[in-house]
Parts: sequence; structure tokens; C-alpha cells
Amino acid sequence: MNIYDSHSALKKKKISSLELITEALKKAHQNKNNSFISLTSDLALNQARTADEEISARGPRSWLHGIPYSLKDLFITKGIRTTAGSKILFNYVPPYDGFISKKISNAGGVLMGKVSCDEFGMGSTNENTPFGPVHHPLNPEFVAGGSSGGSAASVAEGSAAFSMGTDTGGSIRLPANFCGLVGFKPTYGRVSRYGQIAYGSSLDQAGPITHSVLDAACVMEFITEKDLLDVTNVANKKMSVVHELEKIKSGYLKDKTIGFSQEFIDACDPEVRNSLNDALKIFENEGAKLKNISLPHLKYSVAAYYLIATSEASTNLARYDGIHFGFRDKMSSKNLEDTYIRSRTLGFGEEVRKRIILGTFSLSAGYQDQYFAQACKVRRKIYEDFTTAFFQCDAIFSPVCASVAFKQGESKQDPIKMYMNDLYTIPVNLAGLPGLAIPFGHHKGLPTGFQLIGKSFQDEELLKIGHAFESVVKG
Amino acid sequence: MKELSTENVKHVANLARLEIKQEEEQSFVQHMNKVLSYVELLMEVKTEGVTPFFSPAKEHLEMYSDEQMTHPDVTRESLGAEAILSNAPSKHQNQFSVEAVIEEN
Repeated sequence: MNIYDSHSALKKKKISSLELITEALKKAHQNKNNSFISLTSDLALNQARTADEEISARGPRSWLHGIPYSLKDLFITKGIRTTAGSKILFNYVPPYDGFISKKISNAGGVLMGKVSCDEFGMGSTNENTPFGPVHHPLNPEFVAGGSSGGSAASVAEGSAAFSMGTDTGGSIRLPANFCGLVGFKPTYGRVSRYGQIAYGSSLDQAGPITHSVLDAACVMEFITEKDLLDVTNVANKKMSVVHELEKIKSGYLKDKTIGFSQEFIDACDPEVRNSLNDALKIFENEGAKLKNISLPHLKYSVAAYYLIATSEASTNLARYDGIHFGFRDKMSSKNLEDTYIRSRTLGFGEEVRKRIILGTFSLSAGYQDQYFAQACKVRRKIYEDFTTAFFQCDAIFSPVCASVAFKQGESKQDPIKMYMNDLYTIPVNLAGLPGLAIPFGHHKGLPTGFQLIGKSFQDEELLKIGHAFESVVKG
Repeated sequence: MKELSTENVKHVANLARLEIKQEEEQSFVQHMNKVLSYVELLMEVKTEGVTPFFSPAKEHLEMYSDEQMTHPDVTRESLGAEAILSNAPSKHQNQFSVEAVIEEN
């Protein structure tokens, strides 16, 4: 079930929203991949009936009207429990709506429910959550990827036509890649972060997980309005790109220059490497120029990221105090200090506590220059690598991950090994650029794919290049 | 740098108002030392005179106009006490209720 074709069918009255929702609810109720934390069936059925009335009177008012979608449980939804995949927010029911839920609801999207994620977005496998691991939709022994694993699984299993995820170091692109879907992280500042539970504020960005680049464009049109409630949101024109994508025929890639790093490709597992080389050949056959570029500082990305992201997390997560909202340990707290410590210690999971401690250390007196400040200087070098590279190319082609999805439990042993899964996605967040994960091929039943990285605020151009590639492959 | 001891890590945890349970001590200390030894990698980058990059937002301020980056200061309605307190674990007459701040002797 994709957005574009479903929209078309709704418009021609070949199908009703209620039929789409009923079909999606069947899959959601089975919940075989453990995608959902909270299912909103009644709301979905009501919204579908309303959408059908509106559509029969005036036709669909947007690409998303009457279409089922899911939201990562990091998005604030008024009156609907929002947990961030954490025990500390287990019973939290927000009194307000965030930007994303408001905009998609205004466009007529039908919310199926809130889907699982690694706690506060901290993880690459969707195993770090008290709600239980999310399974890979094609093989339950494997991970769906994270942190937006519930988002990817819900779209792949058909309980939603699209899902909104968040991406701090690859959390949209990695699960999309593992599950054979498109994942788009827009330029930092392109989509408002208001009502998106914060992990690393200078890195976090919301974006869609969909079946195609065209579908990703359909969603982007409704979430790119300027929002006064996020100071880092840059006022640009609302994105209007679907009609441009519709016009793209083969030939669009002719004279485009695609940068790539042979070194990155060679470092991948053989099955991923083969898929990457085949994809590059398609760009070349379509007339694109391929240029081997150098990004010498990207090998420092993971190290810089784990200091910067955890530092920002340690301040962002200071708000969970057991007093204003969320879990409070009432059993053993004797005084205020105790309330803080007991509530936070019992409320946060192990990985979250480890990251808060690391971030606190990196910002603490005597270590800040050595750790946090040095990481931010290296971040500048990474940003400059991209700036230099983009003088020579229109988009950069890169792996999403060096491997296909791996087995559950496998990455828990070694933290560095787990963090290295994000080696190719993290630099994009550090530099604030748009990144688009596109599926291409399979290996032993598990999807492979690649990533295109675009210039700052040229999200539209990146979607066009991605769509042109998909058009060639899908024919 | 030299490895952090259990005491060091417990001290940092306390700064973040977290407690490390006894059965977790080893795993937390190991995690910190593994990550800190890995990030030593950053020290080999020459960064003299490099301005730290704190956020893309700061770069955007220099790239885009004031009209794009700022907005008029307009008042709007806030949520109100009832909504704000709706998730409080403990409340008393429109206020958050907490345990004693100063203990009796």
C-alpha cells in the first residue's frame, strides 16, 4: 500500500478510505513484528469515515487525505499516549499537539497509532526499549534497524502506507534500508522540531519512511511550512515537488555528477558492495558522470557524534525529574534529591543512562575542551569536507550501512561495534545535510540499498535524482 | 588518558542525578572506558584555529536573511494550569507537589 497509488484510487473512487484503513488495521492487529506501542483503531475508523465523506463531496484535499500512517512514538500527539519508547514516559498523555501530527492531520492523514523505537531514539536496532524488540518484517530473527524500527516495520507489513520517523544519526535511513524502504532525512532546519521529543537538538530531524521517493515527496509537501515554534526552522517556501517528479523521464540523470568514495564502498560487506556497484552502474548508464571524491574526516564521525549527541542528550534529558510529568518513584524517595535520582535511575533504560553519563562527563569541568569542544572542531572539518566535495558534484552516493540487517541480540556485546553501524549516516547529521536511503536489491532475502546525500536546503533536487533512479529501476 | 575508576563513573552519574546499581557497575565502567578510549581518535585531528561547529542553525544564521531566521514577537495563549498539571505524578491545589526539600533533624 503506497501513498501515490492509494491517492489515485481514492480520487477515482475505486476504493474508500475505510477500506484502506480496515486492511491496514488487520495487519496492525496481528502486530507480528511488534511495531506498535499504542494502536488507535477507533480514532482511525472515525477519521476514515470523515475522510470518505469529505472525499465524496469535494475529492481528496491532499496526497495524504484518507491515507493510513503511523507516527514514531517520539512525536507528541494531543490526548494520545506518547512514550518515547521509555518507561519514564509510560503513562504520558500530551496536552498539546506537535508540528508533525498537526500538519499531517490537517492534510487528512489517518493515524493508525504510535510505533516503537529505541528509547529516546538511542539505538540502531530497536532492541533498546521496554516494549520489546521490533522484528524484521521479512525474517523475525533479524532486527528491523533503529531507532525508527517500528516506523519501518509498520510500513513494510502494510499497517501504514507511510510513517514519520526521526533521524539523529541515521534513525530513519538505517531501518528503511534494512527493511527495503525509502527513508528521507531532510536538511536540518527544513522541518520544524516542535513537539518532537529531543535527543540531540543540533542533529535531530523528522522525515518520512515510505515505499518510494515519490511517496516521500508527497509527505514532504505537508511538513515544510515555516513554524514559529522552532527557532532553528528556516523559512523556505513550502515544498511543492510531486508535480515536478511526475514530469521526470529518463534523461534527468544525464549530465548530473554523482560523487562517491570508492574507499567507503570497498569497506562494505561483499553483498552490500555488489549492490552499491550495480547501482552506480545504473547512474553511469543513464549518463551521469561519476566522480571519486575524498572525504578525509568522515572516519572521525562516530567518535565526534558520540560525544556531541550524548552531551546534548544529557542536557535534554535533564527535564525528566519525576516531578513535572512522567514516572516518579514513590516507594523509596525520602526527599527531593532522592526523587530525582530514584525516578531517573528506575525510569531510564540502560543505554539511555550510559549515554547521559557519557555526555555529562564530556561536558564536565576539566574535560569539556578535551572532549566536547574537540568533537565540535572535528565536526567543522567534516562539514568542510562536504562543502569541498559539493563543488565537484550534485549529490554524493554512499552506503547506508556496511551490512544488511543482522540477527537480534548480536550487536549488544560491543558498544563501539554497535555504534559503527551508523558510520555512513552520522556524517550527514553532523553537517546538517539531507540524506535519502533508497532500496536496491536483496541478498539472501534481506534488502540492500544505498544513500544519496544532497546539498544544504536542496532537498527537492535530491528527491528528483532519487526519483529518476527509481524510475529507471522500476521501468 | 588513564582509565576511569568505578568511583569516577559514580561521581559523574551523580552529577546527572543517576545511581549505578551494584550489579551494573562493571558494565557501566567498561562502557565509559571503551568509548573514551575510542574517541581518543579525535585527538589526532589538527584543530588549531578551527571554530567549533555547534549547530547547523548557527551556520544558517549567516547564510539566510533575518526575515527567514526570525519572526515577530507575538503573544499567544498558553496551555493553562490544568493541562500543564495533567501529567504531574503528584499535585496539590494547582501546584506540583514534591517530597521535603529540607529534612527535619
